[in-house]
Amino acid sequence: MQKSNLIYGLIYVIVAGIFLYAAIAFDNKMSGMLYGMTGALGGNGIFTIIRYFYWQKNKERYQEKVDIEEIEQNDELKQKLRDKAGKYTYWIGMLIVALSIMVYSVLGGLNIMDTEHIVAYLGAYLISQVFIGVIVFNHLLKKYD
Amino acid sequence: MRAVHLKNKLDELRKLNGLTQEEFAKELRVSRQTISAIENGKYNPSLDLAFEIALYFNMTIEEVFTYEKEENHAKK
Repeated sequence: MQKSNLIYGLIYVIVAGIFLYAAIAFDNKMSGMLYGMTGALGGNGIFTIIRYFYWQKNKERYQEKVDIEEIEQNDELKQKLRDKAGKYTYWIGMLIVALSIMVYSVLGGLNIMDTEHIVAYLGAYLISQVFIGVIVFNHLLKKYD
Repeated sequence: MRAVHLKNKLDELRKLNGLTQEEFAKELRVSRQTISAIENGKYNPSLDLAFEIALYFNMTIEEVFTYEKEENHAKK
């Protein structure tokens, strides 16, 4: 395993320590978020450090693992299936957002809850997804001109 | 609508060389599932991979793969 992983792990732990200090020293509304960041970064950092030392003792097995991961990542059939899965997930996501807009609009219309901001945000998100999809497609198509 | 199907002798050639699907996949740096899917006709390999397979067996691509085209035209 590369030494950079150990360095990243240490950086995460140090930054987690800074967040922890900030959470304790400045006890305010942001403390909850700071404690959360401490846990996330600290846990990740400690796990990365432990993993580094573990794989240092099992270098051959690590190399095999990396090899298998590289094959799985670059395998053409699996890349094709991941792209397909991404496409289906995108369409399902769009459908969920569209349905959510309808549901929140009805709830807002019936004065059950204040949904103006949610509907506006979801609407903007839906439209931006469509535009971004078109822009990215055209950008990729340019390579083949 | 036109369906393209590549028939192949991959299964036969692989066994002749005493390789399991896993071993063969490792040689070509693809997953075992890809080899299995190609052998079962469920997946057509890319041109790159088809050439690599042919080269591995020291054969031409036409000796390993046979191109079959099925045409289903809508009748008006």
